[in-house]
Amino acid sequence: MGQKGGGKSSPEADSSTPLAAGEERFRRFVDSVVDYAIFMLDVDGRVATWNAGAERIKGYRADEIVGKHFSIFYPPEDIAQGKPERELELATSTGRYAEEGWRIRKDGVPFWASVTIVAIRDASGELRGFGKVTRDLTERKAALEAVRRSEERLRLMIEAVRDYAIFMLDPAGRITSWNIGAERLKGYRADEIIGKHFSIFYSEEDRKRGHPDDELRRAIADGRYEEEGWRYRKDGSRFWANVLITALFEHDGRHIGFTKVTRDFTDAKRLREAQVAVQVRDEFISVASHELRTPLAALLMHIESLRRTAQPDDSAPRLRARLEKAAQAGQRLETLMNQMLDVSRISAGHLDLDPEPFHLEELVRDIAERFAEEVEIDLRVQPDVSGVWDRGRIDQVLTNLVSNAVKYGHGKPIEIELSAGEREAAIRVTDRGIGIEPDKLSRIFEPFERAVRAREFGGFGLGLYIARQIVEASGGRIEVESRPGQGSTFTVRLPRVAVEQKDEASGG
Amino acid sequence: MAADSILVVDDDQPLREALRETLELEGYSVVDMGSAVEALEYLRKHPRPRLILLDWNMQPMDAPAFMKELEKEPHLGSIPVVLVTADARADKKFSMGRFVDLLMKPVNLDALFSIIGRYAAQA
Repeated sequence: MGQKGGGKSSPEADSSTPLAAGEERFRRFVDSVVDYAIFMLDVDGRVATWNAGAERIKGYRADEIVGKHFSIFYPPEDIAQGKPERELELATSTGRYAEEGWRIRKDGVPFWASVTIVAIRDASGELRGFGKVTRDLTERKAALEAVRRSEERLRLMIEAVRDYAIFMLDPAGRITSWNIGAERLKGYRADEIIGKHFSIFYSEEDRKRGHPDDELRRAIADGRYEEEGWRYRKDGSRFWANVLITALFEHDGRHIGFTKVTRDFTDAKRLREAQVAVQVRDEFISVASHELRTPLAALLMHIESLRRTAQPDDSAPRLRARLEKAAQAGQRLETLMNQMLDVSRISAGHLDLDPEPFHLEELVRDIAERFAEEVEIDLRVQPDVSGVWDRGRIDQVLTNLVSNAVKYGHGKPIEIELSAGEREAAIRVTDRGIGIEPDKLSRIFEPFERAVRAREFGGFGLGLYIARQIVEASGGRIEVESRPGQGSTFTVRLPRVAVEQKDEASGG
Repeated sequence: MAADSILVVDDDQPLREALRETLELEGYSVVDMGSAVEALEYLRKHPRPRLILLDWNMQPMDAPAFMKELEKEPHLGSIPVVLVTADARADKKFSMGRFVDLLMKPVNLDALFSIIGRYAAQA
């Protein structure tokens, strides 16, 4: 400083002693600092100097403030409590006082200040005044406050989550936090469990093979570890847990613990298992009915062929009659197998219809004719009812209804009625038989339901279920009315206007 | 093989045999083959049958492929072929080849005999 070539030195500084020049430069430097208020107080606390930073932060010009007591910067309640004086006393006794607190600008706006007060003494130790450095930290405080609030909100949120157990472990696996969800799921209160090792949730067997620590090792190695498995509650009951462990690291890479999120997947597991079981069942039914049909077809053909060629006078006793019965049993078996196949198609969504134009009254007459030997039929058919439906499937539906009417009809005459409007054709099949109890009515279109005891009447109880599926896939409806002891009426309504049959079918 | 014979082609052995025995009981002369490839081979070396009962779904050669091969052979192309299928879409399959008739599985014997009576004579 002050040496030759110090081209930046001012002429004034050069004209003084080196020490004075240094002090002068320092004063100029302090004056020009704008980010800090740097000023001096006299021993009584009155402002003695003022820099640019002080003006900027507190809003007073030097000529307004020099000579005023520094308590002017404090909020009224601080002044009332004698805080400014206390700070000077502390600075005097300890040499220095520092704090963060609210101060007031000239315009009355408070700001969050970092304040340092230093006692200034001369060479003999006499107190000469105070140096004061004040910094406006309002923005930083707001930012910190925002972080704190957001952390608090997050913490409250996690604590309040009820469906997930969310808690933290220290690096050794001891529990350090506990939320409501964890309490609900595992049955421990926070004060019972914090500090315990998390292996308490595992089975004896898992603990013996070191599985809990294994999970932590893998979480550290891969950042996270996820699995599903059995975990145990405080009361000893178990649940199927989905567990996610995440290793926590500081910015410097130091491992500080784990977060653990556990969910109860017991219901989901049961549902999955049930779905798999249904799938396996459907596949089995599908394969079984396909595989059984082929040999049955051969068997039926042999029986039928023998029945035809057997003569009434054949040597084996009643050979013809017995072959007849064998053929009937085989046909019954075939019907059941077809029903199984239909149900497997329905549950796989493959009940495909093949609609074609045909005359419904012809089909109804055909069916009535087929049953004519078994029962007296009162047939009322409106002529010329054409439409576009899957003939084979509608045949199946009506055959099912008529054979039910015969089966449950007490041998009394049944009535088949076909009527049609412009938009809809309706086929009514009525019997005067045992009827259906009101509480059974709503269920008879469900699979494996029947209104009577299985032993008595046989069958899978699938006929009406399949019938409804076919009718609905054809865009129609099937309805039943019945009174116990008086008989039942089943009504099939089919749309005559063209419907999107293919879409309906694939949707079933 | 007699001139009034029927060739049954089906890869399902029990059904094929049931068909053969049923037809034999009715007095027809029957040959059965388990695949379309065997059937073609047989046809090339033996007198032509009166009628072929042909299953739709066979491996490695199915009914349409068999029909194509058959039509390439000058003296075989005119043999009447009845399609035998369990499929609900049988009508569409039927219209795809030059079949003279269609039998649904499970085979109804009345329908079987009525069709066969038109093309083959009982012994």
